[in-house]
Amino acid sequence: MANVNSANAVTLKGSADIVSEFFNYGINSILYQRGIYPPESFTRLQKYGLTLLVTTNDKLQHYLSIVLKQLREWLISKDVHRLVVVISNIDTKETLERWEFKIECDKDIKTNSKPKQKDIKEIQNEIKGVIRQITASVTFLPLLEVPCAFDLLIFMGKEAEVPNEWAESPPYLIPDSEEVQLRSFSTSIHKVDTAVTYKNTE
Amino acid sequence: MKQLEKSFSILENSVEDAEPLKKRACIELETEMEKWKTAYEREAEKFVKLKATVRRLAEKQTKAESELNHLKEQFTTEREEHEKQLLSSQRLCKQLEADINELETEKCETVQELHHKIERLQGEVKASNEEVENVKNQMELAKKHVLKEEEMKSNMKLEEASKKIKELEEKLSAHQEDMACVQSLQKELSRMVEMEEENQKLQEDNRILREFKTNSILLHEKLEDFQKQQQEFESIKIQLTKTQEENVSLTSQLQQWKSLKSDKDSCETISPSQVSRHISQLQKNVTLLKNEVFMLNGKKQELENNKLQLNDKIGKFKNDLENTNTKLQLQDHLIKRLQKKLLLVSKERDSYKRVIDSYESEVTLAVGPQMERIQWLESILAEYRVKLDQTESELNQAREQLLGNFQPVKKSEGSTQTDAVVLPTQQDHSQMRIVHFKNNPLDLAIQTRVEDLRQENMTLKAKLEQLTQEKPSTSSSLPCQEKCDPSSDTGGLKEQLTVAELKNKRLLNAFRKTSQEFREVCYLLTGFKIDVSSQNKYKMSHMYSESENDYLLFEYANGRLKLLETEYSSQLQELIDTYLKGHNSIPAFLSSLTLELFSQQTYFLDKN
Repeated sequence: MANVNSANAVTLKGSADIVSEFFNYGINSILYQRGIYPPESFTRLQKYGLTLLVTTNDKLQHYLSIVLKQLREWLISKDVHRLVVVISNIDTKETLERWEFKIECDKDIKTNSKPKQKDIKEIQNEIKGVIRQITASVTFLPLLEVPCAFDLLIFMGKEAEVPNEWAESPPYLIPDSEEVQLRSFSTSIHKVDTAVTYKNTE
Repeated sequence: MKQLEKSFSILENSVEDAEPLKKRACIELETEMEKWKTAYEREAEKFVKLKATVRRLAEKQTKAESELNHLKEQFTTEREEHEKQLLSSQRLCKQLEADINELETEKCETVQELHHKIERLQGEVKASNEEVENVKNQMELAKKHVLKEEEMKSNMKLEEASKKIKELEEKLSAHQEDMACVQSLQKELSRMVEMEEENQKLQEDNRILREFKTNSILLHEKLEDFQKQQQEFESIKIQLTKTQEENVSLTSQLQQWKSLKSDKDSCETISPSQVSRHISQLQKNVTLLKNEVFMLNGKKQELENNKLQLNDKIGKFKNDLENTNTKLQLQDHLIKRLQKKLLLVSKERDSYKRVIDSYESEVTLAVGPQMERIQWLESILAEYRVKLDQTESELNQAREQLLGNFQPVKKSEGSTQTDAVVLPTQQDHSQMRIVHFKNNPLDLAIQTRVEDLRQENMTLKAKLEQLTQEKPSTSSSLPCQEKCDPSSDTGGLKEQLTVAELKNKRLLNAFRKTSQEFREVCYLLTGFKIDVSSQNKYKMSHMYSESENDYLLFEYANGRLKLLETEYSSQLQELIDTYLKGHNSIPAFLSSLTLELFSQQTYFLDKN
């Protein structure tokens, strides 16, 4: 939050920081709730007025930091439109769940534009609501009984610059799926909609 | 005059004007009068009331004053009485104080006298105590002297008495010895004569016996020689019979061999060397044939193993076939669904086309917002058409992939995923680019899984090769694997068994030692040795008992002990009557028995 001058002013960079921080905690919550990593590898911390769980796995932390750092740059350059967390079966490579975060950016804003006014606490409350819904989604999502792993897909514009460590990926869609729309939050510059798609078990 | 008239008229006018005013003022005054009258009446009533109250208050005041005077009189009389009482009490106090002072002086004097007396008495007590102590010391000294003198006297007497006793005992023993010697000597004298006669007889017998002895020795020696010769002859006889039998059997065998050989070769001389050569050749042939049999068995087992493996492969291929068939069916279902969706989409497209046509037919003028709406609808239509083309191309690709994946067993992930969802409502992947980090956790997990499976495969293959090399003659590789795994388990189980058995043995030994020790301690403490003769029956034998057959039998049932009849219990009827029947106490009975036996034992010891 280095570029926020007062409690209610939000710049493009500040909004990118808020959104990437949300993704960090949101992805950690998804990994904990869906049991992708063992629960004892998570530690608690307080954020947004909630007790959140974040991983202590060094490799996972390194991967997340790289991806979110790049995501933040793409948020500032307004190239990213969607972030998808894909959960797949390791043995059969079948996609079991997709957590889609659609990102809409104010197209007129730039890095040197005037900051927009929105109360930081209100943004944090909205983020809090989204993360609570993610934890509550355990009630209706089917159990993942097989060993699973996750991947982060980023949907970008065709003209965006992509570093060498990144590669093209298929969308990992789920045939015969059910979709549930969750809450959204907005920093007045970026708006993030959350939805979860899971395999129809009927 | 005119002025006067004017003024008069004016005045008359003013008077006329003033009349109503006057009337009004009269009315107002009358009303005020009435008000003042009513007020006056009220105030008069109030005045009357107040007068009445004043009269009541005056009466009250007079009453109060009379009471006050009465009270004052009472007060004065009481005050006088109290003053009189005060004076009398003061006089009494003075008298009492005087008495107290006198008493105090008397008390002091008595206290002083008493102190003096106490001091005198204490002095006397001390003196008497000293005298008592002196007397006591003297008494003790005198007692000690007396005791010493008495001890001395008694010791002297004791010594004298003991000396006398010893002398007398010595004399008695000497006398007894002398008596015994005299008796023995008398006996011996009487025996002497008889002994001489017997002596002569014995000497003659001795001579005869010596002669007999020499003869018998010679005869024994001859006997032994003859026996030895007899044994030798018997052994020779046995050997003879054996050799004769061997001779007979050998001759028969020879004849048989000769007959055998003569059967094969016609009238040729048969030599044992030839026979042995023939036999060795036959043996070699037999060994060669056995080796060939072993080789053939091994080949047979290998062929059986190969057959089993092939059967397994056939089973696997059948399963794979079934899986591919089911997948094909699923994909056929998917294709049907997609075709249905296609139909729906095409129908929607037609409906939208019709809507657009209807709009075009309705609209005659090119109005700005409607044209925009039409353009927007047309753009949506174009998008739908593009999406339709995409879905159709993807469907075709899926079909081609399905037909291509029929023989090898592979999972078609990308094709089904791309067939799945592309509906004209949301997913707009055609204009977007999807990227992901190369070293992502999903790919890493899949790679590690594949490597683990490869390593497992390699280890299993190596095990297989080892097993096939070590045991080629045994059965197929699968049972060998099964044997190898439980052999390690059985070894561990056997070790556990031996350890458990050792523990059990140690526990048993320890238990035996402690139980034996406990039984010995119980025997030493109580004097009774308790043995379990049969179920619920306990045999008790005492350490002071005269014989081993003196034992008691008790039976334990329902938490109670009963004494059973034995030979020894019939001898203890008195104790049984007093302690068991009379007091119903087994410990008392047993302790009385021990005391009785102990007293018997000590009596015997003393007697001995």
